[in-house]
Amino acid sequence: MITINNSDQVIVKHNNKEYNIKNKNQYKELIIYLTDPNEKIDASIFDIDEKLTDERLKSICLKYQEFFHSYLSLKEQAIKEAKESLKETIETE
Amino acid sequence: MDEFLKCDMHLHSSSCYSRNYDENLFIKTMKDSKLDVFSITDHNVIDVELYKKLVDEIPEKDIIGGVELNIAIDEKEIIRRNLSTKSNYFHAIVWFDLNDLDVAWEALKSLIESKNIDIENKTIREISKLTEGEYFYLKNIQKSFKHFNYYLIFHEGKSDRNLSDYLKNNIKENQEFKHDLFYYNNKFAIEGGIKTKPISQYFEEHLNTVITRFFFSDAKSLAEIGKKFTWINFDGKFESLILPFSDPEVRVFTSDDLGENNPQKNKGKYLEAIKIEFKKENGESYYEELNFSPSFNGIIGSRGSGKTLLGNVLGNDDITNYQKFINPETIKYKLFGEDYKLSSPNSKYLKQNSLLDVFRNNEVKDIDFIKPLFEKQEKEKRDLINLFTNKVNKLLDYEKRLFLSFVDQKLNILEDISFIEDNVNLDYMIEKFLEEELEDGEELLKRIKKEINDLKIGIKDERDKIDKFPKIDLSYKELSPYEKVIKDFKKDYIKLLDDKSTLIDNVLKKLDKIDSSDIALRKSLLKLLVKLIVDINEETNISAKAFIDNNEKSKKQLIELTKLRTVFNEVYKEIETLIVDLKKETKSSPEIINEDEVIVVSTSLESFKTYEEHFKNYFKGYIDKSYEYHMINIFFDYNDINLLKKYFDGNKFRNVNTAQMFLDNYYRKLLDDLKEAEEFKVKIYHNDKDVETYSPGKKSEVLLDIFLHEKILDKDYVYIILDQPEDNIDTKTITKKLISRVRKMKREVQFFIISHSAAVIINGDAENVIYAYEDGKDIKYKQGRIIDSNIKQNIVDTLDGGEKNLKMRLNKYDFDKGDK
Repeated sequence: MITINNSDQVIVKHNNKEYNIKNKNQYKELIIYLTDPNEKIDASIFDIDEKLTDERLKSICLKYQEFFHSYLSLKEQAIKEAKESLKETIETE
Repeated sequence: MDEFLKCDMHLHSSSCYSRNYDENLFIKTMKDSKLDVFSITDHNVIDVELYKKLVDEIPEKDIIGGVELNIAIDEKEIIRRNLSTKSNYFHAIVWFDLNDLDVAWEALKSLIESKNIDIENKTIREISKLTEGEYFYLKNIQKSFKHFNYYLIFHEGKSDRNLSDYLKNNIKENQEFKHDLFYYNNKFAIEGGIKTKPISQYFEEHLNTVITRFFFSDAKSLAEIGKKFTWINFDGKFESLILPFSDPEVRVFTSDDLGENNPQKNKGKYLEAIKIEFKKENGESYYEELNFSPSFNGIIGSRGSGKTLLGNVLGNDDITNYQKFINPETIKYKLFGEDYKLSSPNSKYLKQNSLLDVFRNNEVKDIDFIKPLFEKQEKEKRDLINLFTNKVNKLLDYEKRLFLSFVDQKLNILEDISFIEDNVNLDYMIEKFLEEELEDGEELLKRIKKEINDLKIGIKDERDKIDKFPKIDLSYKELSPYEKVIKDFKKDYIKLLDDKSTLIDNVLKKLDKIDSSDIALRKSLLKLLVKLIVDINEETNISAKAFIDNNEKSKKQLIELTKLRTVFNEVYKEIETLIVDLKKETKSSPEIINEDEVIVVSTSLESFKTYEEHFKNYFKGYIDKSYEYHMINIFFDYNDINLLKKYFDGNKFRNVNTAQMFLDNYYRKLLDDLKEAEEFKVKIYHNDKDVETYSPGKKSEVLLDIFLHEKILDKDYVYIILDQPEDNIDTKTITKKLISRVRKMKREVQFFIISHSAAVIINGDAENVIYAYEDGKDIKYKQGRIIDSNIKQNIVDTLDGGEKNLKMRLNKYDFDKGDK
């Protein structure tokens, strides 16, 4: 779930963990989680917090949601391409 | 030394009424014959003078005294034993020592005279004639001949006067009588060759006794002498006949079974003698020279007497360890028919306890039986290893290159995505498109023209095929109707092809005539349009462009990170799978031993570590099964050497100061490790069970079967040395496996067996026994046969069960026979 904390910073909450996008380490952790080829991640983890009422904040969350959704929609293809590329290298080189 | 000798020990001389030979011609025939040993067995007479002449004139041959007697069982015994007899008598030949010629003839004369035959002033031939149709009771023969040693060989399977003709075999009482006759007398045998095998087998299987079968010429003319004979393994002397009589299975072979071929197949290639220089304490030296049998040489002696020393000398193994006792430089080996040489012959040496050690030392593969099976698998496995190394090399190289290339692209530094929050109006942006996505007319036309040209090449090929049609030979009239049809077809088809060719030429000309300037114009206009869009977008909204670029860049980073991690993951899985395949057992096709036992040899790289065990050796803080997680963290921290160090085991990366060095060292060391798939584990399955799981006794038994498998004979060894092979094996197995194998093989390859087991030496029938002993502080050897008095005593003193086995052997009774 994407939400905004008290300091007006964007937070991704998932599996009892909070990832502050602006915090370098937490963002790295989130990326490590998201780019794990063994993890099948559901787009719903980027659902926007329904409790958010401020339209401006909601719109910020929406932009992040679009970014991550866009990545997730390309993830499977990226995994497939990496496997094919490796296979091709092994078989042809 | 005992050896197989060609013996014709049933033949008649010029002194027998049944033959009309000239005496001189007879003597010449015997001298010229290829026989090694013979015996004159005239009907009921012994010509002492003739024997003496033969001994004088043919000193190079061994002669054994003999006579052929007409024998019957006395009536009292027939009634007492309720025997059924047919005809008056049967024939048997008698052998005795030439030293007993006079005694034997005197005893026989008394028998003849007891038949009221007047032999006074009669020639031997006349006496022989007078005995025609007469017969002597067996009990009287035994009584008269009690003062000298003799063997009695009954006719069997011959044209007449067989024991079985006289006493029919299918009558219970007769069988019981024969059993007693042979069982209680170790000097009776039968003469009749392989035809009489059912009789000897019956005795072996049902009556618990061994009957020796002989085959001789009983020649009707001089030309027939020596045509039928028996190969007997002894020294040609009467007193040594006990050896073949007590073990005919390995000592007696008849020419109707084996022909002219000497049963000892390695006669031309064996170690005949050895000369060893021994050192004395005072610095002097002495030589021990030993002669060997081409068959089985048993080496006996107390512990520490020099048996194994001799084994090692013969096997040219660890001789340097004995430098205190011998001079290894001067050992000389003499092969049959050659001079003494310093080089040791090709041999196979099974050292003491080495059968069990082969597993511990992974030497199973060196056993001759296993070797070809293993080598075939080894080759397959080596090919697999090469394939594995090659693939692993590629996989790790790919992984490393991708890693470093992404580092170069700075993909390990995470993009700040807070630009997403910027207020950017994207509505004014014109969507970009790529020039390559649009159709290029010039390229399209080029492709079409090429396709049309290809059609023309096809036409030319077809035309060539038509030209190459086989020609019909019109001298075969029946083919002429075909020739016309085919000729017409070729003509029509060529016309069709010419039309097609013209059509193609025309269309190409037409295409070339069309004005293509519009195509080029469109291409240049499109190029201009793309440039315009880019320029307009840039001019319209620089911040929007920056937003789009950042967005693409950030997303690309995530995509590339996913790809890199996928590669880490896949390389890991791929190498693990390759290792599992590599470690798999490769099994040979089943090999049959002992008729119904199945041996399978398997090769594996059982001890080869998993991929994870290999790479985690270089890591610090590695959590199981998290290779790609560990690697992606290394990737993110690659630019900070202090952070990077915490992922690697410092002991394995000494003097490594840069990130690139860490990575280079890691992949190089890992690859080197993975290339070390060398040590094969060889397993033997006996009836589907891993031999290694067997008890030491059972294991030794199976390994002995394999070691002494007949395939060892293909290896061209001059001899085989076994040092105490009976260790760890139970008595039954010693007899069933070791002894029977040695007995079977010793006629094909020379054996040297060091043993403490009387069964091995005596039942294995060692033709030559070498006794090692200490004479003061010196090691000495003496040799002889098991019947030689000094060796007999050494057997009794040194071997486990020596006296018992010796007595059993020399009394002929093999208690193992007939157990079933």
